[in-house]
Amino acid sequence: MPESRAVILERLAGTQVRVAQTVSQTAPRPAVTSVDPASMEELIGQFVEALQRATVTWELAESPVTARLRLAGQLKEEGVAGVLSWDAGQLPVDGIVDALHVLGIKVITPSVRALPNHGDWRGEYPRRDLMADIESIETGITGAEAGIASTGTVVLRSGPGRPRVVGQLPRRHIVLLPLSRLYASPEQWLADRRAQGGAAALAEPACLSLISGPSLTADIELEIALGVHGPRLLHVILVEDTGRLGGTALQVARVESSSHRSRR
Amino acid sequence: MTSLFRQHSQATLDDPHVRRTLARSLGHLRRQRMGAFDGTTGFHLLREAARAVRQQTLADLPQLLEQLEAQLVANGVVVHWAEDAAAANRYVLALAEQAGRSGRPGRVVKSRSSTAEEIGLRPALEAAGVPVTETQLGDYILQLAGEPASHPVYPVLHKRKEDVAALFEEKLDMPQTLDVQVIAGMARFKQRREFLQADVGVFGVNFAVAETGTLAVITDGGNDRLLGALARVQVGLMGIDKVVPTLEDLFLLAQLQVRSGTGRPMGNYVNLINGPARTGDPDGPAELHLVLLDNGRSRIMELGYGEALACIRCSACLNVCPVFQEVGGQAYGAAYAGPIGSVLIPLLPAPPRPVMHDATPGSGRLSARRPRAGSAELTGDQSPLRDTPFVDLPHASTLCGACAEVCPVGIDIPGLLKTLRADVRSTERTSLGRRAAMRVFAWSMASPQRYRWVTRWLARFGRLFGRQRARHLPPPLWGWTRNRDFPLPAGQSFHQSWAKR
Repeated sequence: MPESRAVILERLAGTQVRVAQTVSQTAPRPAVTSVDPASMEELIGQFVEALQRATVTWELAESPVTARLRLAGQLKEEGVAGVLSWDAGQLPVDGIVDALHVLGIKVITPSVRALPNHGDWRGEYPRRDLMADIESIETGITGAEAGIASTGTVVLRSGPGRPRVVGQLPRRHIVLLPLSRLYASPEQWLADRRAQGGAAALAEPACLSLISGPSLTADIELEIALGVHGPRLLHVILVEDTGRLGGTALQVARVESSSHRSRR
Repeated sequence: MTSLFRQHSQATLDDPHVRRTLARSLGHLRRQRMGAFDGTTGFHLLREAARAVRQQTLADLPQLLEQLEAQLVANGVVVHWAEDAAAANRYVLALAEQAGRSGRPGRVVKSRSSTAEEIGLRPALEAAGVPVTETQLGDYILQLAGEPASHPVYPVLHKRKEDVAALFEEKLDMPQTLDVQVIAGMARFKQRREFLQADVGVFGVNFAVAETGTLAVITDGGNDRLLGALARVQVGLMGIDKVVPTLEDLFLLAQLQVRSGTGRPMGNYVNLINGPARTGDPDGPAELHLVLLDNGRSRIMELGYGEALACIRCSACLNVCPVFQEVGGQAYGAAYAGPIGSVLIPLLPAPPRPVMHDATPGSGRLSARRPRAGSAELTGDQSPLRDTPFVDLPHASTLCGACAEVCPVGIDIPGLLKTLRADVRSTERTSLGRRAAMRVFAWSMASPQRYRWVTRWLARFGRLFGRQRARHLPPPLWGWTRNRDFPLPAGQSFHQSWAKR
């Protein structure tokens, strides 16, 4: 193996490629989409438009308290018995897990790595039962690191209390996204992250996932089918926490009417 | 002359269903791609930037690979350099065997990877008794059908719903349905157990970022994210050409790749993997490995075809290619296809085993060739297009240039095809007849007088075959009329009719 490394590198060292122009490593790359929203409303408008194009449903809560009450109330109304969720401390809205407990909804934060005999379920009943339990749950609740308007993307960071399976195993993935974390484009988000902690901060979590829609396949005759491996429904709850939207129901209604709202 | 490409193309050409399905789907992909660049910074600007990044990357490849390796190791990733397909397959096989228990090898679950196809990973693992499950729906269908992929992004582009329904009934005992949502549901049901008991996850890496050691994996299904959460041992496969310098470069190239290939702004799941599970992480792999595969790429650089390695596998060139649309991806007989495939396949080592079940490689009769001016001095053994059954692929193109127009990294594919054609010719022993014909042609083109004289006689000669179209030409020209009529000359040359007006 060490020889292979040396052989490959040596061979490459002797080669030349026609280079049209030298690229500066630090010069900014052109942003793919040129978006420059003038206001918070416009930014949200672009975001939800992109979400709708990808069949992602959304709602806007004028405060974290509203988000909590609405989500808990909705799940109760649907008769949901249990949900997978990130750890309460990792969700951007306080009190959701408690509220669900009060309503009698079971909340599980699965830890696959802690299960006995990771990766094996042949004859290993503890793991099998645990997985079966987790697998039968059809709703997963997570937070998000960021939202990106031009592509309709939510960014999820792995870490303690933030299992990846919460967004992947159930048929419905509900994402709580504070409006203060909304960016116009992927490039802006990246620039902001770099300014904050440099590349090292971006490489810190084991996995950063940029999610722009439900689990989709167009493999058969390019016809779209949803939920092929993961969620069939991706739902984003935008939580106003900036104060820039006025926080009134009137402002919320304006955002919602400016975009054609599609609910399931 | 036996030609693999010809043999394989015939299957598609003879199947009206496949041809209709291909034509419809490729038309759809072309329209979607066009829509994807409205409202962007401008395709040409983006392409110039992307081209510059890719060319600079190839120029700095050794340094970038070393930087990538250092970052990966710092992130806790085990890096394995593989010179060829066999070395890569051996490594993954060893991982699968270690991940097993009580003497049985571990279960391998895969997401889409053209690199895995290139090295014949699944057949190699299966031959060693390792159970492998493909998870991308298209690959899953192909695994059931025992067929190779026909497109790098949509591997079952050639199949109809009816075909899939019949296959699921036969192999999975599922009721027939033409509702793709229901078909996808069946696959989900069947695959869930495989995901949950996977010991080893195998994934293709779309890009690797040198500055951070980040592996980018782009899918729409999210199968890689599910697998990434569940399998204890995971291994990524990438060619050494997939490295990018910075995260900004990754964002540029990834968006261009997805927009060019699918027409949507982003893959629904873009996973940036920075290493195995961190302390306290509830899921994710305990071990993360990366295979850095050469398999002929450094040789492609040495031979002066490095530009072809700028390819980011978006498949836009396939989707616009008139030849690809007629023959489909399986005709190319390798993991890559279409215009860029016609460049890469003859230059890469022959696949470890025939990719088509009926393939009979070894028809190529090429050996030593002249060294190219400006390139490194070549020995006979280093020559490209030495015994490869794919010598005729550079000719599987009309040189219409549509591929170059859509390529998001600005690869001059027609130019590369022409260079390859010349290289093939320079190594080939040309038959006496062909040389004589070429000499006559060169002679007749050397002066206007000769040209006029020859065309006048050819025009008259044409009358012997009938009035308008010839159904059959005599040997050695009969190949031309095998699939079409030969329109006959008007009886007089253009110069003659012009003179009469």
